[in-house]
Amino acid sequence: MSKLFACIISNDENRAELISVAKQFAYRIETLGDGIVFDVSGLEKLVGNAEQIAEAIKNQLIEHDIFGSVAVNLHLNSAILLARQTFNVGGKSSAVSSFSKLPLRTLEINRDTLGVFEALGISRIEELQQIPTDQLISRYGQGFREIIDAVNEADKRSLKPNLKENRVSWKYELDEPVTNYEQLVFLFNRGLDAVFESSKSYGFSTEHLDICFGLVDKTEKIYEIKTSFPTLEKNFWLKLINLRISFETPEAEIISLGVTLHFAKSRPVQTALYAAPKPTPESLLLTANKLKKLLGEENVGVPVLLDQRLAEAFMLDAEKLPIGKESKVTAVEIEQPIIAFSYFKPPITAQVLIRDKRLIYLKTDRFRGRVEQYSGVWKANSRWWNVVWRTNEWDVEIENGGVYRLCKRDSDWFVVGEYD
Amino acid sequence: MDFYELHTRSAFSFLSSGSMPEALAIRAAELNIKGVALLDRDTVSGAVRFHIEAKTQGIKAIIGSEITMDDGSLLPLIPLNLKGYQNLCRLITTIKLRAKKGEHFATRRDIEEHSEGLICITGGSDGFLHKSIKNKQGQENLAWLNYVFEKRLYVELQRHFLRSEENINQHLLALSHKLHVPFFASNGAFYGNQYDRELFDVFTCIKNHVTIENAGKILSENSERFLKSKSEMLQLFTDYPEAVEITNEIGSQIDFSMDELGYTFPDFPVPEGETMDSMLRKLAERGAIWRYDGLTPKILAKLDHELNLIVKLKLAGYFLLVWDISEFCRNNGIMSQGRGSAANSVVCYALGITAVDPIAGELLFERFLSEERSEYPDIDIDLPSGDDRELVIQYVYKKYGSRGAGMTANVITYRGRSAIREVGKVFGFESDELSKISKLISPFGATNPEELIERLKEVGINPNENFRIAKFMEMYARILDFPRHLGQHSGGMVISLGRLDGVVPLEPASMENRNIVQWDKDDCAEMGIVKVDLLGLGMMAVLRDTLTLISENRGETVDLAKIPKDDPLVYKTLQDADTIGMFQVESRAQIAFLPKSKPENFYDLVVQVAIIRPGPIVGKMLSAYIKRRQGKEEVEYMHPSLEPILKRTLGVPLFQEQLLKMAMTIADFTGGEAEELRRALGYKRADVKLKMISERLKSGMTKNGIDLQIQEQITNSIVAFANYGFPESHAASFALLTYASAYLKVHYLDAFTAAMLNNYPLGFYSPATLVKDAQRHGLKFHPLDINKSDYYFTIEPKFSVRVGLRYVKGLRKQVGEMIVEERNQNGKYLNIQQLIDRVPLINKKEIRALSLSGALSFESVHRRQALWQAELAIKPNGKLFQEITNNQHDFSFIKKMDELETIETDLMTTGLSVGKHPMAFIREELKRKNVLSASQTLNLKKKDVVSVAGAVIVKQRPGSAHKVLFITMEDETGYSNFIVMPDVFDKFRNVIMQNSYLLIKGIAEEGNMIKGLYFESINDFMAKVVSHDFH
Repeated sequence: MSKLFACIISNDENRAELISVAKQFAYRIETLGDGIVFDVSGLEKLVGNAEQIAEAIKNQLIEHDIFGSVAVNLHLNSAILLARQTFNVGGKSSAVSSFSKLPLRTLEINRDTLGVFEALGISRIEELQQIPTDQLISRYGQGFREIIDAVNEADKRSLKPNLKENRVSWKYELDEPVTNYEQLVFLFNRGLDAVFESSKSYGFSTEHLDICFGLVDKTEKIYEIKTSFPTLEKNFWLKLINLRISFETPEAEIISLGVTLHFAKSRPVQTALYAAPKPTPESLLLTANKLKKLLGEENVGVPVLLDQRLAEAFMLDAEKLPIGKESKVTAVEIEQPIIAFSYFKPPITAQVLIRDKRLIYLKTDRFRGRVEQYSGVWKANSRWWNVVWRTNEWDVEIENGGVYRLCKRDSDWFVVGEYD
Repeated sequence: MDFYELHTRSAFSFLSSGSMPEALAIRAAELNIKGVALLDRDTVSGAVRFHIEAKTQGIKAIIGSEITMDDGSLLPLIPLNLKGYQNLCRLITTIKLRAKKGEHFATRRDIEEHSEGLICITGGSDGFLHKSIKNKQGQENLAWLNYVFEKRLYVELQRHFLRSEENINQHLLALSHKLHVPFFASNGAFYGNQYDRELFDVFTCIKNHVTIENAGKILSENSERFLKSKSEMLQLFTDYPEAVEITNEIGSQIDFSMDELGYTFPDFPVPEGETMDSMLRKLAERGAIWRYDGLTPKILAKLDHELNLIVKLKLAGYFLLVWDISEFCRNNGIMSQGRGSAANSVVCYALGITAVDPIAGELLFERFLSEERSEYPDIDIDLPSGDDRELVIQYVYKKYGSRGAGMTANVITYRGRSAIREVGKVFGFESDELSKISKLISPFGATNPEELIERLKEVGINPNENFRIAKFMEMYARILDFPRHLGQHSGGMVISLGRLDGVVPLEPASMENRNIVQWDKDDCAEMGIVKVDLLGLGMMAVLRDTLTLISENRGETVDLAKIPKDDPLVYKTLQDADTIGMFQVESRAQIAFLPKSKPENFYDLVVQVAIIRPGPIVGKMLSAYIKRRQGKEEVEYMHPSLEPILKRTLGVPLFQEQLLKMAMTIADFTGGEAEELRRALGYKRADVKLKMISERLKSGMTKNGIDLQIQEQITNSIVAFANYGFPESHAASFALLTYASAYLKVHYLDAFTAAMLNNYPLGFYSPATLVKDAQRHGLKFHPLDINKSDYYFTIEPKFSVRVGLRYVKGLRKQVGEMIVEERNQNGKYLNIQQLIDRVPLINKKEIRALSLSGALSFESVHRRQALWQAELAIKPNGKLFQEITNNQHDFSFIKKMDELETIETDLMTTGLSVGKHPMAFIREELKRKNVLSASQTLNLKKKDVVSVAGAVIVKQRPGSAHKVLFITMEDETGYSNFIVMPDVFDKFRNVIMQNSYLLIKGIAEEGNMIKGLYFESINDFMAKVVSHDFH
């Protein structure tokens, strides 16, 4: 049966919306930088010919209020190129009726070569198709074959669905209930072939398979089989499955069987024998999540210094996790001692006694005292091109107390933090 | 006690300050600061402006510089006396000349060798001592400075309300006490007032190629680096008031002012027993005999008068120097001609510096030189642009040394589109947004910010509704006219006795083997530094090449000095305005004016050259002259005493010399006062001075009993020249070239056209237009051919020329010349492979360009086939390309270009076409639509309503025309001219600006001019044709 592919090109940033349109027509969907492409093979009977399928997709786009162009073609690449071209001419699908009419610039031909073709008066794919392949190859090398294949719609590109799942499954319903598991080995063989092939196409291996038997008593028997290393070696897995099931055979007759392959996770790499391993991500995540639960999602994260002139040039990155000890800057690298400073959130309202233009006494709800020493005023301001900010600050040491940062906004005084 | 701010930086530190030097001086005066030291980084480029403004403001201008050290830190140095200033200039010159542009630095040895007479201050956060303290070498390096500068060293304290500064200030104070070096306070001002911090931040972003949003901590922490008054400084340094007080002591001991700059012009070496004066006299007398058939008493008297004055003013050396340059040109076959006011001098004429006889031309010597004058005269020498001019420049460098001569700088400032682009990038606009905004900037001159705001509104952007755009617009307006970098003046050279680098620092220009001084021509003039302008003139090169081509191809020797001065065909051609390619008379305005003025003799040409200028147009002298010339208006004089002066220009004052004579006659100006008037007219910073002179002029006229109304009239005509004054002598020099170019074009069109195209770019029109014009005059053009074309255009038999390889876009000169040389040595190229084998330097792009341009059409292969063959010939070597070799001769898929495609390709690959004019291809269609050709527009009656189509070759909106746009279109029959009023232009702006081929509907006016009312682009294929658009 011939294949049929549809492509939507859109600058709509909401990819989810685009995918939801595609999902109405296909389950195999690949997202592109500028749109999506999906397999609509088999829809001919349901919807109609390619044009009618395109029309149906277009209607869905309109319904979802998405501006985009649609093309349906027997070839994946051609569908993409057609949709892109239609999009470039303002989404008017009538501008290009067939692939061969497409301008050459839709192909990925380098600019110089494209210039030569244009100078030769060859500006459309159909004109390039007229040039003998050997003449093209002898001038532009075997590397040009990809273009020739694209032009002749003979490219081998296959759809690469973008996965959100981390597993693939296979399932088989038996015609008759089976008691002897060994009778099913050939079926397992087929099932493993299917999931391994699928897994390979996504570039994953596995270290975890689930074998599931549907039993005649309507229960399920699930075997979770894990290895300490990822592999797609079928015989190895078959042996493990055999071994496991032979130890723990199902309690009733089997009426269905399934295999679920879990993709192996990427592992942190230990770069040297004595290199300190990074903290276990799981436990760190756990701690962070516990804190988030207590304090709120947005209030837990990693403090990040900002390279900005701001009154408080740092932020909390709630998406990040703390890095391990080994990444900390060592004291040797710091030229001058760093004085730690704690910000009060919110700043504490203060009263300040001034005499002869000198700060004399500081009073807040939490602390108070005669000013022993102070420095300042320290002035900072920036973002004059947007929302201007400015601060006037003093560093104040109070009698029998700490050293605080005092700030004046309009006529109000605040203590914004304390030096450790 | 007074306060001196001893450390400031101006916009001449390039991208490191938010204020112009003048603004700093003005602000300092407002703050009652006694004196300010301008310490720009490795330069004194802003010194003259600062000095002049400071003088006006009554503050003491202290000139110094921050010197970049080898560790990247800055060491501020301030001259204590003239010796110190000379040392500073020499130090800057030394470090700049020995390194690549932008990579200079001073070593400790440089500082030690140039320290005499200089005060050293330790600088701010980017200063030498700060860096030393951070590297824990503070004491050691301060001790070194103390050793070098002894009692002329001061530790500098700065406070900008920053926490980080206090730590370093404590270090500085400790070192100061320990080594007994006095300390002082400065604010290290980067701008005059707080508001300019914004501009400083923008410059920081431009310097670091970042947007303001991403600039982060490279931006200033606050706005405190502005000029502060003494009381503000005392508040900052309440704990160390002595640091502020001591500035008075430091500032007072600085005993150098730019006024005492000791510039002297070089002596000219003379043979033993001669003096410069005697040698000049001998040369001038000998030259006069050569120039004049017989020396009449009038000539001798004039010569004697001039020589006596030259001797009295001690200017013989200057004249000998210019004579020497002219001699060098003569001896090396380089065409040269003095222009400008020098053409008023018999001595210059006799010395062969100028070619205009001032006696025959009744030119005014006082315009050139007068006893009262305090500055050197100005002699400009025109040279053929290119190699010849470079030879002369290098001769001067060789003779006076690389530190004795330099080109004057040209201060490149932020203007129009460059300002939009740079500021736009800072505000994070994408390049397509920027190009959209840039397009709103008029290509016809400066667009003021208000105008730009209006244009933005027209395209749907309202700056008032968007803070980012509003701020961007504000910064655009503020950055205009700020210096961007120092460029090179087109020809001005300054020369000094001994070493010029003791007067002004020199630095390498971007051109190899060239040095520039750090002052522009106005600064040099202010400082009384003599300048010789060695100007490259494309037309001189054309004349030179035309003569060579005539001699080589016709065996004739044409001597421009001996060509007939009243050739009827030349004047007939000028009267018909058939002047494309002719020097100074080919512009759209000249072409419109020539049929009205109908020049009949050389002086008419002198007027012609001078009159199409903004001055005469704005002063309404042009229209008055035309009416009088055509007999439509009586010749009248504003006052009877002006008749002898204005008779030759029909009572209309046109020349600066006339204005001088007028002032001397009607207002009793002395020669010196008249000279001052001239300077005020020609000097761009003249407003105040000019006003004063106008008042003196009026009082003189009142004394002579001239009516107030007439006084006003006379004063207005003088003031109209304020920015555009044109000297008669200059016009006369130019008119000589005009006549020569006209003569050669009329009589030797083949050689002249080839020479024009070989020296392109020059003039007003594109190569395509020059070709079409020559074709209309019967000259045949042969296309490019690798086996026949030289690198340049060549003359071929039967009144024809062949296109040169020079015009193949993308073909390197070296390769083009190699192709010709190889062919001349080893015979024709038989195929592309041969070309590749015999010219190994040729690259893929060049082969493609040659094939497409039609130069590789071997054995009747058409150019597309040639290109396809070339693709095979230039394939890379390697297995990937070796597979298939059969079936290479089937070209059935390649269609031959049709005629229009060929022309399009010609224009695209060479910028010119020898085929039909593209408009000819749609002529029949246009005829059906009653669209006229250019030739049909020549016979229109006033108020005829017409449609005309053509290729736009000129769009021009002269400043004097009150936003009126002039368009010239070309077709196969000639040129049609249009005038577009501002409201119509606004309506059709996009159509007019974005299309190369237009259909214009309009109403005929006088003088073959059509007032355009409706514009549309002609069909798509025309739009595709690469425009040989105006430039």
